[in-house]
Amino acid sequence: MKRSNRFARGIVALGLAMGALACVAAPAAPESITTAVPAMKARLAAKVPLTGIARAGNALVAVGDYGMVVRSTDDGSTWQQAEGPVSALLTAVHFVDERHGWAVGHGGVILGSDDGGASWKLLEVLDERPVLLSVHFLDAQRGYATGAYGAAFRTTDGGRSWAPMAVGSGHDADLHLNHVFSVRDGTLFIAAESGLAFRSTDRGASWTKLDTGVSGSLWSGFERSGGEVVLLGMSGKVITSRDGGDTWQARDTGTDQSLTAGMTTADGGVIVVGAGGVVLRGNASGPLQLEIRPDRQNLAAVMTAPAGGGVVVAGQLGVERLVSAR
Amino acid sequence: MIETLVRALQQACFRHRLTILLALLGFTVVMAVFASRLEMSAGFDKQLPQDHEYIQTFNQYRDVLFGANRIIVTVEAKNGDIWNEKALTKLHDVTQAVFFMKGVDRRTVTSLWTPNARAVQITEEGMRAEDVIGGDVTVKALTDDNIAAIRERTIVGGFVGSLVANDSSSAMVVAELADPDPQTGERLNYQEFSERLEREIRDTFSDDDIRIRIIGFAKQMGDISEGATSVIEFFALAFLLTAAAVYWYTRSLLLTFLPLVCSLVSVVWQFGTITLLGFGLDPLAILVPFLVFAIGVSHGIQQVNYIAKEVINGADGYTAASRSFTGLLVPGTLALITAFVGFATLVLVPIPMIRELAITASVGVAYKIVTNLIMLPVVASYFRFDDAFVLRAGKVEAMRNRMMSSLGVHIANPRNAAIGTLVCLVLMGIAVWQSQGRHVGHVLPGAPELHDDSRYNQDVEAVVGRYGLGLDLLTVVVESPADGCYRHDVMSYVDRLTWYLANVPGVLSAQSLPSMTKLAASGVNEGNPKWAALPREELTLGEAVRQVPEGMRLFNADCTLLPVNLYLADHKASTIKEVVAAVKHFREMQPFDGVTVRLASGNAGVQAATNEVVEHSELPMMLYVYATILVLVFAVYRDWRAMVACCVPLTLATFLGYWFMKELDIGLTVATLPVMVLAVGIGVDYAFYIYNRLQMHLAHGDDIVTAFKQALREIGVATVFTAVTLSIGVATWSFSALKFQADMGMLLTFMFMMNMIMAITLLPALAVTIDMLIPRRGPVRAPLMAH
Repeated sequence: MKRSNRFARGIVALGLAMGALACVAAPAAPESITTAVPAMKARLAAKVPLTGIARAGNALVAVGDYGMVVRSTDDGSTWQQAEGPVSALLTAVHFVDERHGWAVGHGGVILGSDDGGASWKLLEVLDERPVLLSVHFLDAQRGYATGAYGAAFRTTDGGRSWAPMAVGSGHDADLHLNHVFSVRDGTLFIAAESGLAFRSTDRGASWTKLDTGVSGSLWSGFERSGGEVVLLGMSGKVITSRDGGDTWQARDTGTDQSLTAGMTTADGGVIVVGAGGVVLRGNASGPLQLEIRPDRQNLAAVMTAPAGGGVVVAGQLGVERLVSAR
Repeated sequence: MIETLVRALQQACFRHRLTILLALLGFTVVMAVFASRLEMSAGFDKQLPQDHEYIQTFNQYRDVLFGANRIIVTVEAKNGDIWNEKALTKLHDVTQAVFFMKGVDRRTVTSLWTPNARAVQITEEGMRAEDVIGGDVTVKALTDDNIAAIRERTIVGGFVGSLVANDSSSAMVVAELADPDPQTGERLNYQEFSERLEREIRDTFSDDDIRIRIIGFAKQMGDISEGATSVIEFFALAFLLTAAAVYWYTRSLLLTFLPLVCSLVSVVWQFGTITLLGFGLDPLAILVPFLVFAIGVSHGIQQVNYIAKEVINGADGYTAASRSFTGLLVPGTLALITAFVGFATLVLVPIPMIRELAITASVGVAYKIVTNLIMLPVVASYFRFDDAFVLRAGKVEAMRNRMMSSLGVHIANPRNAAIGTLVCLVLMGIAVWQSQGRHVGHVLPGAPELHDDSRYNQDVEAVVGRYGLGLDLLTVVVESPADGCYRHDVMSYVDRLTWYLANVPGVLSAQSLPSMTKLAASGVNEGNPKWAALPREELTLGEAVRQVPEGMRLFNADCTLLPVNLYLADHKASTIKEVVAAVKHFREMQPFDGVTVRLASGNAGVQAATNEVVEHSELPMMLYVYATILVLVFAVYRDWRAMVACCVPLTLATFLGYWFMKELDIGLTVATLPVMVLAVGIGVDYAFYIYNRLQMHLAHGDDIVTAFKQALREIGVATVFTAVTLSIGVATWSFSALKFQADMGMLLTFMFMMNMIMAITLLPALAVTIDMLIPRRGPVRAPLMAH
C-alpha cells in the first residue's frame, strides 16, 4: 500500500516535470525551429530531396532535407527512417566503418552515430551557425568538416569538440569549401569555389592551394583505383591529376550540366552524377559515357550498393536504385 | 376540439363551394402564367455552404489563390503524341478560343502556349524561369528543333502530368471561370456556357486526328441540366401509368383524374411561387417537384378510395365527398405537415441551393393541404355516380375485402404479431449495422450525377488516367504578419507544414513559397543542391524569395498570405477528410505566434466544406423529422402506443434505405441529401391513415385484432395500391440519362414499398404486441371519423 502510494507520487512528479518541460519547449524559438526540433516521422522520408549517401558496412545511409536520415540494409531496395535530432537540411554523411559515422548540415549542425546510422546524436552546433557542406573522417577520432565562406573545422575526439582550421588565405579565405576527402596515402583534398582546390599532407595542419586551371566552382572529388585524383563541378567540368594534385587535365564529359558527386566502382570504373538527370559512367580506362535520366531530376549523390554491384543515387526526388539504360 | 374545427371547416367549404372553386381556378391561372416563365438554373456558389469556415477563407482569397471553379480542355492526339506541328497548333487555337470565351477569367488561362507556363530551372547562373513556348515561337514557326526544345522545357518545368499527359498523348488548357462577371456583375449561365463549349470548342476543333475532352464544374452542370430535361418524359410516363392504375382501381374516369389533376394544380402553384421568389429550378433539385406530385397522388387516392366506399355504401356524391373531407382531413394534414416539416428542416442546411429547395418544396407541400384535402373533395361533391358504377365497384370492393381480411387474420394473430415484431427488430439491428460507413460526398472521380458511360465521365476518366497532377487541389491558407516571407522563422514554419502535409496519404504533391524558395536558394548558389535550404539572413532570404515567379500564386503583394497547395490523388470524401484532419492536427499541436493556418480553398477544399455540412446536417434533420412525427402523433392521439407503432416501422424503413444506399454506392451529397431526408417522411401517410382507422375501431370497443382487420379492409387495399402505383412511377426513372435520377428512382421505389409493407405488417404487429404485453387500462380515445 505504502509502496504503491510512493509510486503514484513519483508518477505525479514525473508528470509535472514533463509538463514543465513541455511548457519550456512549446514556444519554438524562431531561430531554432530547424536545429532544435527533431526530424518529423515521415512516410516519404526516402522521397525527400537528399544530398548525401554513405556506406556503413552492409548498410546504406542517406541524408537530406528536413533533417531526414534514411537507411537501407538491402542494397537500396527499401529504406527506413532513422531518428534524426534536427530538422535542418543535412548536406553530407560519412562513415569510417560499419558503426561510426557523422553528418553535417545547415545551421552548423554536426551529428554522430555509433550504431551504423540507425540512431543519431547532435554532437555540436557550431557558433555563428555556418552552412556546413562536407564531412570526412580518417578514423573514428580524426575528422574534418567544411562549409560556406571558408568555414573549416577539425576534431581529434570523434566529433565531441571541434577546432577551427584555416584553409585559404587572403582572397581565398571566404570561399565555399564544397567537399573534403582523402586519398589512400592520407593526403586530404578540398574541392572549393571558383575552380580552387586545396591539399594537406599533414592531416589538416596546413593547406596548399592547387592550380587546377579552371575557373568554375568545383563541387566534389574522389580517388580512382589507379591513384588518379578526380575533381568535378560546374558546367560539366571533370579534371584529373595523376601526380597527387600538382598538375591537372580536363576531361571531356559531353555535358554542360553541373556535376555533383562521383566515386570509383568495385570494378575500377567510375560513376559521376549531376544536375538535369546526368549520369556519367566510365570503365578503368575508356572515355566517360553520358546518360540522361528521363525525369531530368537534379542528382546530388551516388554510392555503390554493398552487394550485387548496383548503384544508388540521391537527388531532388529522394533515393533510388539506378536502373541503367543499357 | 379538433372535431368541431374540422366540422366547421367542412361546412364552410361545402356551403361556399362554388366561390371557393372559382377563386382557386383564378389563382391557378395566375400561377400558371408565372410557372411558364420558370427556368432551369445552376450556380457554383449556390452549392457552397457560405458560412462555413473553409468557404469564408475561399471567398476571402478567391482573387489571389487558384480558384475552384475551373474548366479543363484537353487536346488529345488519337494516334501518337502531341509533339508535332499539327497538335501543337491545335493546342494553340484551343487556348486562344478558351481565352476569348465570355465567362472565362483570362488571367487564369494556362496551357503550354500561355506566358504563365514557365519552366523554372536551377542553373549555375541562378534560378532561371523561361516560357515553355517563348514569345518568339509562333504557330507558323514550329520546327522540329523548337518542338524538341518545347518538349525539353516541359519536362524540366515539371509540366508532365499537369499541362501535358504523362504519356504525351494529350495537352491541357485550364481556365477559371469568372462568376459573377466582375464588370457587369452578371451570373454565368452554366447551361448556355456548356453549350458554347460544345459548339465553339469541341465541335470546332475535333477532327480525325484530334479528340477534345472537356471537364469541370460548368460542363458537369451543363450535362446534368441537359439530362435533367429528360425528367419531363419520365414524368409524363409516370403520369400515364398512374392514370391507368388509378382507373383500374376506381373503375371511374372522374375518380381517376381527380387526384391527378389536383396534384398537378399544386405543382403549378409551386412552380409559380418559385418564379415569384426569383429562384430557378436547379437541375439537381428537379426531382423534388415530382416527389411533391407523388405525395399528392398518394393522398388523392386515399380520398377517392374513401369517396368510392361511401358511394358503394349508398351515399350520394355530395355526402360521400363531405364525409371523405372530414374523415381524412386530420390524418392527411398530419402526413402533409410531416412532409412539410421534412422539407422545411432542410432550411437549416446552410447551403443556398438546398435552402431554395427547402422553401419551394415546403410551399409545394403546404399547397397540397389545399388541393388534395380541401379542393379535391369539394370538386368531388359535384360528381354524380350512377348505379352501374356502384355495382361495378361494389363487386371489386367485395373481392378486395376478402383478400384483406385473410391478410389481416394472419398479421393480427397475436402469435404471428409477436414473431413479426421480433423478426423486424432483428432486421432493424442488421440494417443499422449494415448501413454504417455510408459514403459521404463523391465516391468516384467523375460526376456522380451522371452515368459512368456518359461522355462527361468518360472524359474525366481519360483525363484522370493521363494526368497525374492538378485535378484535385486543396489549398491551405497561411496568414502571416506583413513581410512574413522575409522571416526565416515564419518561412521555416510554413516549410514544416508543407512537409508534414506532403506526407499525408492521398497527397500527391505539396507546393508552397518555402519549397520554391529553397530551390531558388540553391539557384542563387550556382544550382548546388546542398544550398536548397531557407537562408537564415533576411537579405539572402529576400533575394531567393524574389526569384519565385508571381504567377505561381504562392504569396501576395505584402507577403501576408502564404498558401500551401496540395494536389490530391482524388476527391473522395475519405481522402479529403484525412488531409483536413492532418491540417487541424498540425495547427493544434504546433501553433506559431502571429501565424494563422486556415482551411481551405481549391476545389477539394470547397468540397471538404460541403461534405462536412452535408454529413453534419443529416442526423439533426432526421431527428427533427422524427420529433415532428412524434409530437403530431401525440397531439392527435394522446397515446404513446401510437407513437411507438408509427415510428418504429418508419425507423426500420429508414435504416433499410440507408443500407440500400450503401450497397448502391449512393453518396451523401448536396443533391442526394434532400431526397434522403424526404425518403424518411415519404409514406409516413400510410402509417397515419392505417393508425387512424385502427384507433377508431378500438374506440368503438373492438379488440385489437378485430379493429385491425377492419382497418385493413377499409384502407389496406388503397395503401398497397398507392405504394405500388407510385413505385412504378418512380421506377421508370431508372432509365434516366442521369445516374443520380436513376439511383433516386430506385431509392424511392424501395422506400415507397418498404414504408407500405411496414405500415401494413409491422405497425399492426407492434400495436397488437404492445397491447398484449401492456394491456390498456382505460378506454381508447376516438379519433375524428365520418359517420
